[in-house]
Amino acid sequence: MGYFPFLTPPGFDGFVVVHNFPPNSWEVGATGDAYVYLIWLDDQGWSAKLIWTLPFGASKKIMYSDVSHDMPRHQIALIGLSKTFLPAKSQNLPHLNFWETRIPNWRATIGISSEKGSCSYQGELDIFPPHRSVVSFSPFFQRNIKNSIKNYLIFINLESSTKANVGTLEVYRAKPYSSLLASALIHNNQVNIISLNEMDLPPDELLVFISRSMAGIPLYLSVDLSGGFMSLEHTHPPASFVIHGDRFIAQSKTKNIWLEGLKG
Amino acid sequence: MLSYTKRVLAFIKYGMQPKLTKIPSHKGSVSDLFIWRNNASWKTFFDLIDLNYILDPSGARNSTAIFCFYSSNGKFLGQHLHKFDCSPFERINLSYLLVDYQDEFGTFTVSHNSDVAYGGKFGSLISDRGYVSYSYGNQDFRNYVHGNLDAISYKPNGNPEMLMGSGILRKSFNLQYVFDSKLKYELVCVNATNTQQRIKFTLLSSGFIKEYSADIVVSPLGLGFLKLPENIVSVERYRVSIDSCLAMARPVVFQLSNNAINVFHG
Repeated sequence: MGYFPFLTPPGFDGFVVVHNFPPNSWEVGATGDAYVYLIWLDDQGWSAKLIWTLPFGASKKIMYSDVSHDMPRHQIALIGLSKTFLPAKSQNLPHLNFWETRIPNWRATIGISSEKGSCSYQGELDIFPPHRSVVSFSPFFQRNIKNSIKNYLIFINLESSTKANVGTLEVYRAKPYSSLLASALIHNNQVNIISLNEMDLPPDELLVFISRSMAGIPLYLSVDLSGGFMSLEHTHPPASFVIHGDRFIAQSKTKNIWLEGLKG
Repeated sequence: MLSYTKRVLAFIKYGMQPKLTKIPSHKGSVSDLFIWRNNASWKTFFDLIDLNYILDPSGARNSTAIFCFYSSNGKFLGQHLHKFDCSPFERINLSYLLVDYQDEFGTFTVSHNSDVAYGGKFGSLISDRGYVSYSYGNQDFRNYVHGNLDAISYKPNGNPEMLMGSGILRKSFNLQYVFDSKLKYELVCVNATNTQQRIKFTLLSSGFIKEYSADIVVSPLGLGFLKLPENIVSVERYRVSIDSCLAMARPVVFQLSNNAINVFHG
């Protein structure tokens, strides 16, 4: 069972809506109550706090601002569903004992809101193994004449261990041997918010975002401050560009081409 | 050991479930079946990326991509050939390509030439799951949604091969999303199977009480479009269940609020 992270870009409140009913009619039948846990990382390890008991068929919206007083700032905050109680403290991310589905995965609504509006996506977050890489080809950067659009990369990493790691996110044009355009530090077990406007990136170009030592989900958020319009979407991993055959070899070679060809 | 009855039930439950997608019968590229909208309010854009270039940036550069457009009932409208020149990326405003058509929404596919496909060296196929974006009203801001289904491939004779899985048993896709009755929603399901599909949308309030339902028949390559009713649902919040024979009747949700849109996969 996946976890559901709060997104917390500046000026916005993150929210998660969890659901205690399955996404299809044939993988899981009627479930019992679901325990809704707030999970976060602090100096003593992973903490879990039961915040709600959700009956079958119900949904619950949790605003980050309503629960953030329990947690240190700048650490990842998650919602998890479990049908058993979780330990209040643990050194590894507590396993969620809950019903699993495949078509599709059991998901929550993950989003951000402000006074002017909100946007969301249906998703979940699984644990990443440490020391993995990410290559993300992104066309999502938006600009307008009024210069009122802010763009962020929200890089989410979740690892089981509490051991802290720092990596670097590098940005390039999608052209082998091109020079480094910008970089930013990223932390494991964190929802890293990176302002792309401050990186002075070239307009209307395909950009490559590379993390060589930390896996994560690259979410791209654009916000038009003049009207409250928002867009939130993640890129496909290069692995999704080829299917069937020896696709894992093809995917691995493609990723290596870009990791080797772009070195700041 | 499972009893005979339990084994039969298990076979019906798991063995008779259709695969999400089929493997194409030939070596063409694969595309999702994307949704276009085009009228005074809606514009659609496609962020076209040269996937041959991404897979092998040092390879020969004669990449092309073909857009095929269909009406809401799956009728072929036309196609557009795009040649990648110096840039591996171009944002295509589909409104310019759809100017001759009266329809306000329909479907489209994006196929890449596979003769230069790096993936082809490994018996693999290129798959474009896109990035589609929509703008609403007079805003130049775009709201992105990606595809995620290997839906269509084209045979050497140009005919589409439908890859979406479907079965003989109807089943429910429960959208894990809470709808707000104060907002406007439009749900769109595409049909990338060979046969017509009957799709039933049901609005449920808490306690699984049915508030509204609608049946839509969707042609191959077409789409089912449902504007959720306003003022019918007598509750503040509701959810949506979608019954069909499709392996996964996952809709794209268009949410409208004060001229702002939120588009996402259900």
